[in-house]
Amino acid sequence: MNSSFNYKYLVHWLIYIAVQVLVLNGVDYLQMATPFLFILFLINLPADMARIPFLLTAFVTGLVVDVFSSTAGIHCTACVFIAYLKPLFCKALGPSDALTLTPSFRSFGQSRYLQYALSMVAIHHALFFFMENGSTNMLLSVLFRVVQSIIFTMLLVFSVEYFKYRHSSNEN
Amino acid sequence: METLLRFFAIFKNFFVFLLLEILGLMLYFSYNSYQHGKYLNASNVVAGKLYGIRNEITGYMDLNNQNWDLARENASLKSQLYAANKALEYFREDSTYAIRRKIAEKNNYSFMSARVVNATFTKAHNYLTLDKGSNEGVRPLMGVVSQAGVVGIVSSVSEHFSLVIPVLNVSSQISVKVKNKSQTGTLVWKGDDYRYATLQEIPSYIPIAKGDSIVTSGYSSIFPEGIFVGKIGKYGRGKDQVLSIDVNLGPDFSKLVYVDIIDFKNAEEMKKLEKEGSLNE
Repeated sequence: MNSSFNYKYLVHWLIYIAVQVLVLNGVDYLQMATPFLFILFLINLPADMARIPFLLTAFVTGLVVDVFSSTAGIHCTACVFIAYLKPLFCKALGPSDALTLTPSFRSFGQSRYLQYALSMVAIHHALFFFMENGSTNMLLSVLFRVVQSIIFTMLLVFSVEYFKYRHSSNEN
Repeated sequence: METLLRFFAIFKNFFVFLLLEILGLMLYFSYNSYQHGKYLNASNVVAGKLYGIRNEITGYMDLNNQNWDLARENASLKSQLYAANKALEYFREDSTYAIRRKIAEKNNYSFMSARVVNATFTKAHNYLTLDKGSNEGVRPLMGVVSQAGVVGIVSSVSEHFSLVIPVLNVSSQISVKVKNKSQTGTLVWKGDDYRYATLQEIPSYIPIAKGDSIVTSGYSSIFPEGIFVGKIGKYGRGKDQVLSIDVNLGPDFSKLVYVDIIDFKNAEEMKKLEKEGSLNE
């Protein structure tokens, strides 16, 4: 990795956090569940990034979003968890050389990418909402929120990735 | 030895993972209780500032509705003023009214207006962030109301912002009563619908009806007696001869913008007295 390479990801990180904190955290107002698009940053980081820096990145990303949503430790824990599982999902759901790629529609293929992203999103959201709720009462209402949020996040993930895909194919 | 080192190298990632998860869980368990979380929540200065800027921008979009609400409030205030003036004429010579007024003055409540800069209402633990903090005299355990009724209780403050635990938080408990009845109960929220809360501990022999007003009981130093909370919706007999009552909450928590923080000047004195009293027993 050279320095301009890192710089690009720092800009991505800032954009994801800003969009999450300033726009998506307010989606509560539409009386729907909240989408957590910021984890797409973790999902899309190169799969060959060293494990420990990646885990630390996930921790800090979760912590920053936690601070802005008064959910101390919850995003943190969920983000580190999916970060640890990422190579497993890449291997299981991505193409055979997935661990050397940067996940995207182009590199993974549309269906493989969506399966991979859905697994990561589902685990993060399930962990988040169960920890946020703090108990196993109201299991159904929590499950309902989890499913709503997963659908919401995945729609956004699809839109972002589709846009990136079209954009990059227009350039070529 | 070599195998041991290799073993450790293989599990190096796992140890880092474990360490970070433990850190995250420590944060989770130490900050997600009622009075904690002073720095790691949305009442800290950075988050508060950022949300303040966002509200400056989005605030304009709702101005039309706000205007309507203000106009409507003006109208109702005018009519109340008219009614109050008439009542004043009637009571001018009444000595019991003079005594009651003295008690109200002695109780010493004052109201401070604040703007909601961030709010959630679809989670189980919802919070509001207000743009007034310790610099303006806000302290934890002050009551928060809107013109439509009780909103919640201040849980922590920073210099310029305060964090409120609204009725819509599963750890919120507010002492209330049915208007014109002396029996008090506790208002809690089950975490499902942001329009309804649940009133517990009212015995089933108390006659109530759908549409009766629920008001604060005044049994704490947080809210004065008689502040509107909501109206009785569905109710039914729960366990142990106790009614389970749905309360249709007065304020629309999805549209809160301006709220009032209640400053009960004698709160310290009242607490001190209650403490001394209990020590004497």
